[in-house]
Amino acid sequence: MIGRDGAPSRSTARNVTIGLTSAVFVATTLAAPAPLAANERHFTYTYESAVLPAGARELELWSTFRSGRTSFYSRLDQRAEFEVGLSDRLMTAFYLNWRDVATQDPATGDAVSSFQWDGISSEWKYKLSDPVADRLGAALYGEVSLGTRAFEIESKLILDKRVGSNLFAYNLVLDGEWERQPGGADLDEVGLEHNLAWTHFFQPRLAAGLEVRSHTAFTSQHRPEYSALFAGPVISYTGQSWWVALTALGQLPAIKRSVDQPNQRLVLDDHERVNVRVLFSYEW
Amino acid sequence: MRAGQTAVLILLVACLGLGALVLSCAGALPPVTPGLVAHAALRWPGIDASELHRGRRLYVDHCSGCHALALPQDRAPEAWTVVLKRMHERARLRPEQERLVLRYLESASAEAHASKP
Repeated sequence: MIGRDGAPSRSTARNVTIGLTSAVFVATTLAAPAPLAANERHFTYTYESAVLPAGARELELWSTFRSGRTSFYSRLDQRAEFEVGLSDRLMTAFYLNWRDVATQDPATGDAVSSFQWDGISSEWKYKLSDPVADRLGAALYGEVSLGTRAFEIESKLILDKRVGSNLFAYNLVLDGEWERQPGGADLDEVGLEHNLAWTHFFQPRLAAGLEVRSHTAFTSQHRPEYSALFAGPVISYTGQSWWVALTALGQLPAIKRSVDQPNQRLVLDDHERVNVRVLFSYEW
Repeated sequence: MRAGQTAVLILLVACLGLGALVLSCAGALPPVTPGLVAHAALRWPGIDASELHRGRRLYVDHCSGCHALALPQDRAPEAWTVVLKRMHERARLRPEQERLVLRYLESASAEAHASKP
């Protein structure tokens, strides 16, 4: 993620974020004379191939709580996403990103928190096939994030399939992060992710299942630093004009332990023991 | 064997099983076949396959963005009129497009129900 080292001042960043978020809300309300269509999601880490219909718009709010590293660490990542359907197969989205992090001050042992503006992101998704109409649903996804200290490019291959009351999805994710330095931009980290998810529809509006996520980080010399593994339950509910999805992931023993902490079964220098993500979306 | 390797092995087996299951399933949305055209012609004499193809395509493109597609056979043929009345505005279907989608859904539902024992 971008802006790892923080913003110049907590209150300034908070004010800017609140101002920008309010502007997006107001602009969305004024620019949306027609009712919007909700693009239901049933997982929070794993994407599905569906795209918003042409002309449809949607606002999606993300909250990810992350806790438990080697020393005290508690963090809340927030994203506000504004999605637009451009054609029957293509959609785009604009994000505002920020986070609140609490860590332990090594000098005093006290908890210190910092609010960090994480920059903006642009997402593009192209649907290739449908999980019900075709043998396999598929989509291509690209996202660019831009912050003051770094920028990141993320690409995904999305596959999904609906079989009766069950939905399966798999994402192959490749991302790269470049940090800006006075002399130029350096490739800081390359990541490879596999996300696998299954959910069962107990009724058309209510589904519950499982998400599994592995994340392997490579150094700029293409050597794997670690490969972390997560798994946990997911539940989703679709209302009349809104939907919500929640996943609680716990970290499992690492596929490859961190090179910096070879005696730890979990990867706790760059990841946490627990991640909880909530997505909430509603139509206007 | 380390716990991490065991987890990977379990995951691999699960992925292979899941992949085989998923790929063994064809698309569940009925394709336009001569049988489907024949069913449609009982209600709309002179209808041709291209209209049903367009209706199927419109149904996929306009409805799958918001929710998983319901299968035509999940409802009685006449029930689709009510569903489309409720959904056409949200799905941004023009009257002509709505008519094509309805013809595909009603015909596919009628064919499925007729073939039930």
